[in-house]
Amino acid sequence: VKKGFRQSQSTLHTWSGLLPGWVLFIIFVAGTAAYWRETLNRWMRPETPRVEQPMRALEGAQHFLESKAPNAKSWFITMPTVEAPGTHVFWVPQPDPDAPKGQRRPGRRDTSALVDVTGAPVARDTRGGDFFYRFHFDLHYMPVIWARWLVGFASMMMLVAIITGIVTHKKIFKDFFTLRRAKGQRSWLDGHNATAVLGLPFHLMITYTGLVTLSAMLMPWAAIANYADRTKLYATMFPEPGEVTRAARSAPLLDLAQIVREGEQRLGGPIGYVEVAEPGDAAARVTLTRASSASLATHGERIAFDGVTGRVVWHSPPPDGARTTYSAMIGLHAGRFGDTVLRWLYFLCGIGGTLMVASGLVLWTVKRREKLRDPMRPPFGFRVVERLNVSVIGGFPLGCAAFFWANRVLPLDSVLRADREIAALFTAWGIATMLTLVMPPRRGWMTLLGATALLLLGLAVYDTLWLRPGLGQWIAAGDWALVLVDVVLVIFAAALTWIAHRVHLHRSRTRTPRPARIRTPAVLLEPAK
Amino acid sequence: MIAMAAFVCTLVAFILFGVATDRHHERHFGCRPQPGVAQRCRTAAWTSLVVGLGAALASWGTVFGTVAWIGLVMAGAAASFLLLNFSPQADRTRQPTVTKRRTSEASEN
Repeated sequence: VKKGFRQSQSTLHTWSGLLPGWVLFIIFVAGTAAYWRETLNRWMRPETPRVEQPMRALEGAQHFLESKAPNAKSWFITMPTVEAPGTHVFWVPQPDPDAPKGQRRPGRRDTSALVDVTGAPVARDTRGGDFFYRFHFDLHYMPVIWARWLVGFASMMMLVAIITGIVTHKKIFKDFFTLRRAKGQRSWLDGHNATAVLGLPFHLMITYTGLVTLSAMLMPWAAIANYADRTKLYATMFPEPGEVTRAARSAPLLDLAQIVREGEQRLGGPIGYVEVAEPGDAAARVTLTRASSASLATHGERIAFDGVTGRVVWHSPPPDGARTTYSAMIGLHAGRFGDTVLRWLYFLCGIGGTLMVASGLVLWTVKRREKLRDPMRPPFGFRVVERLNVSVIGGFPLGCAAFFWANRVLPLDSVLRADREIAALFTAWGIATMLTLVMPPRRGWMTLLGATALLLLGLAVYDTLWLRPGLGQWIAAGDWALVLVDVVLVIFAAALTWIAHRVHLHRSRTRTPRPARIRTPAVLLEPAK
Repeated sequence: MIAMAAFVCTLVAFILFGVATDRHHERHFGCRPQPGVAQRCRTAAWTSLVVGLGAALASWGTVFGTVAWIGLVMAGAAASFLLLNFSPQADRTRQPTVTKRRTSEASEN
């Protein structure tokens, strides 16, 4: 009975890992990159001056909003930090009573901006690292709700795969340090086990907390049972000070930096978001939210000030246990609290998870190839998995490299520049997929991995020779965060080259079909003397 | 600085766990560990992990320190895994021990 149970778990592991595996791979790549979201946001806008004094940048943002949207209903400002490329702002215009009902509201592009320290909008239009963050759970080119269901389903399968994997891999601690190298299937199995076991606490945590971030959508029953009114649930989760009624009397808004300083003292930590309701009106109100970097719980306390007098008018109720738990789990998932060391640990764990998914997908074909009746004519399902592996594991990183290249070479004034960068990613990935359909898988692996390596290496060369300010200037200015992006890309290029080289070596050994090798006289295999 | 010390602790701990195993002890020292040696290695490894936890808590505080320590344990384990399996010494002794390992595996299964 015991063996039967383990066998069933092994089968479940295989299929729960394989079917959502390709989606999981891109979720892992994007999520891993998103740990450097702000760094990539800066790296992809190289000409933007560095934020050295966040309060100065906030003043710049206030000037920008006062001239751009003085009569808006509300302003939202993400507090600039030294890691950020500038200040992200967006505003909600006053509702137009004459507008026909149901008319589309102005797009995000018209009501949001990224402004630099001086208060000028940043020239290079790009999604930057934010693209990876959104792509991690919203994917692209599909309605957000479908994407989240797909990502949620893949995560559930991932949790099943992790737990069945633990059951299947019986000698989890005994084989902890085992790596049988250059032994085909065994090496793949050991490698897959190593990436899984070494990062196991992370993999369990990230999958579980990832599901928690989508919990309200995946399992709405608890909320439905307790809250007849959805808005009430929302108000409990994210307390708001309530609507502001316009006084229709103009009054100057206080200096936001001054209010933020006061708020930091009262909340005992840095501020993450500033929301101004009815700016310029006598009823103006400023609501501050503590930064998610300040504690493990990602939804910080909030405090509201009168925008004209600076008096405290509201304070969020202390969070209850459920809200703190939910918030801490999301914090643990996103790692926003992390300093540089912690961020690197998250990043390395993310790479471990990516390798785990990739090696698992490849292992499926490696295991079955040895049992194929006719290796030259594998069954249809085998060929689909084999090609999908090349197309996704080889092709998606190529797309990311193309995304970075588009960021560098597209003219700054081109229309819909940010969208064209993303189009470059999917075009490159699409071409890669076409190639995998016409090329033998081994050639496909080498081509895609080699091309990605070249593109990544090329980026570092471009940043050194042509980009101004570029790699040389960053080193001179001691801007190590940006320097490290290029260093990491070069390391990835080296790793991909190594893998492509290994694939190349592998090819020469197993290309000959088995029966032919057995018939070769042993004498011919002896090295020439 | 204390953060670095915490990482060194977890790294040393997992190297000790590694050399306490027959396979890696043989690969790096040419012989299987004496029973007492393996035991002492494991005790030292656990001690090192606890010291590492202390360093992580001192560096990051209770909440982030615990998270960081778990991260450092994973990093130490991964780094020792690479060191033990890819060090030049492991490469040098890899070939001759292949046959020995096969027989030991056969007896295990």
